[in-house]
Amino acid sequence: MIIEHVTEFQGLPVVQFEPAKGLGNAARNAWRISVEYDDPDTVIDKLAELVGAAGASQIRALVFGPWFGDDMSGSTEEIVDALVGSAKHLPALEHLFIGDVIYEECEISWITQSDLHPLLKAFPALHTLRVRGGTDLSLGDAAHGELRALIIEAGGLPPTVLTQIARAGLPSLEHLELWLGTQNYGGPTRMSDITPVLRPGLFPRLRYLGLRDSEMADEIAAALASSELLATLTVLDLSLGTLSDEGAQALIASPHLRSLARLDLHHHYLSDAMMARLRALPITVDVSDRQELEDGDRYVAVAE
Amino acid sequence: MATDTLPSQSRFTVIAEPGGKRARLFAEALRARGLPAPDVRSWRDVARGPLDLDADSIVRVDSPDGAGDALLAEGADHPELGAASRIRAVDVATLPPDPGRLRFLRQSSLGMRRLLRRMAPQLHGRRSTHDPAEIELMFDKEACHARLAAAGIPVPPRLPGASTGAALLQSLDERTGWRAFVKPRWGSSAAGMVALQGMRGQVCAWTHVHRGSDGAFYSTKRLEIWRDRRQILSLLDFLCAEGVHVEAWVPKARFQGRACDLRVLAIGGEVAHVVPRLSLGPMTNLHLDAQRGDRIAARDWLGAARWDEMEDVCRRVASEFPRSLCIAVDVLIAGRQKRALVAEVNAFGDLLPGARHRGRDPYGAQIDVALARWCP
Repeated sequence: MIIEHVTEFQGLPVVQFEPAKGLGNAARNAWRISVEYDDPDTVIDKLAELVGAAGASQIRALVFGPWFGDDMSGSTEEIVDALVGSAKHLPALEHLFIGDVIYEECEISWITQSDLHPLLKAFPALHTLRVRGGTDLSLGDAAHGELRALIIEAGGLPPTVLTQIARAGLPSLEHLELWLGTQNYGGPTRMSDITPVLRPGLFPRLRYLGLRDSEMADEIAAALASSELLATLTVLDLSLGTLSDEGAQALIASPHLRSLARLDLHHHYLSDAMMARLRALPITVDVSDRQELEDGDRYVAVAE
Repeated sequence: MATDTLPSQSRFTVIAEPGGKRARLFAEALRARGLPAPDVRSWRDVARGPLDLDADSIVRVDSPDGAGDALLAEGADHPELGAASRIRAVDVATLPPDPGRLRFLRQSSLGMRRLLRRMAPQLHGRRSTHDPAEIELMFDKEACHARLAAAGIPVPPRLPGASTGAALLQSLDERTGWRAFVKPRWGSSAAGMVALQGMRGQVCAWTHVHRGSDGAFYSTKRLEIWRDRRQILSLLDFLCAEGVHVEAWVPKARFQGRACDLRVLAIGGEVAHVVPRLSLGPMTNLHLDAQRGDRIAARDWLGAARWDEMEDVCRRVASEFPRSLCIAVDVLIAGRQKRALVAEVNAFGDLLPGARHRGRDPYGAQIDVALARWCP
């Protein structure tokens, strides 16, 4: 379960925006907006105050915490509309995180997202889009010339979103991080849902690929092991999932592994022997946080 | 209340489990001050007949822990048992022990209430650090919440209870995405509490209740997450039959990455010991593997203004229980604003032997305040 709010986003300290305190050196922080359970103001009100504050035009990063007050079913549509409407006041915005929500505020699979495509259109200078929550999420006809990082955290990533990513025009994308989750929470069920995203050349600048928190970790590892895509990556992240010796073996045997600088497999179900073999590779490997089988079953780290 | 010249040695009478930890530690605190050992009576003695208390002693009422069977026997056949689980008085003595088992909660509370009402006239007019009527109020979460709310003291918003799980969920489901805290109405400790979340017909429960293979419920240290609607319903059915108090689930502020609340002792109306309690899950309770935080660090984290606000809230709570020399207030520190809300008031929450305030442990502090008040 996700228990902490972010304290840092893209290298910038996260600071809760308070109108009375203003923005100070606006470019220095990632500004956070959220609505408490007893807040009289909505996120829309707070965003309006933010963009009206002195220095707003220098804001580089925004984090949106809970927006739904008492009723967890409120979607992010209002946030998207308000951001799009304020776009001209946020010309320097590069990094955006929508969904800094912990389990106590709302289960990840109950966070209700929306169509985020208008954000990509409204903020051509955006470098990072980070999203938590897969329910009702859509990227539409995603196309963006500058986006470097796309991060989606979910207990189950809808296959429709994977399709949208596979069709997306994101020539500058360097970092693609997707938490696939479980079938139970709407995640992909077949490799054919995932392989379109693994097409070599889809994102020519891609250096970090994370297919995390997946109950299909072994199959993904096998697919990547035989893919030229692996040879183009600097970092492969299959952490938080159900990776077992089967998937790890495929990776070790892959001819494309040697150019990888880092392999992140933390939270896994590997044997001692396999962990030792991975550590012996001439690349940085993270095999921490080994999991024990529960009644013979393997579980992803974040599903709820 | 006698405030004239008193005997040279002030004796305490303690109503608690003889030989139990509380009686022992209190006796040590007296001994450390050169005071005579207390006269210890048990709650069973209260059940058996008049206590025949020494005229000048100062009476302390402590937890009925250890006299559970006496409470059960006393609560048997009570007209207010309703649909709650019950056991006949004759069967209490032969009930096999089942550690951690959650059952007969209402019966036990009704038994305790009867014993408190027997105590009350015997304590009337004496020097006493506790008051049976106030203890009774603290043990009824619904009534206590109403009292605090009426006094304008910040508390989590109350939600309507229900007599069955289905009725409770139906009422909660009126909102599309909701969160609620369900607490057993009577009793203390976090036993039986359930943090519930619901969205469009789906329910999720976080709880320290474990369901045994035979469907019985047990208190457990490990936090469990239940997602099966039928199982959640059966737990809620059980709890509703025993009586529940339901509140909005207010997110706790995070201290060192963990949910934090404060156990505050108000002694003689003033805030004394403050013990931060931290946990990864939504419930903090010293019995549930929560870690104790550091008071100074907690104060730094809250900041002076919010700390003062917290102390003020606790003082106001204490003033609602003027005859209780020591009350234990569970203060919930809510959300980013870190506002103090009163989650619970406990009559016997002072078993914190390691806690110190101005160099004194909770028992020592109470003894000193009592003597200053009655034997100046």
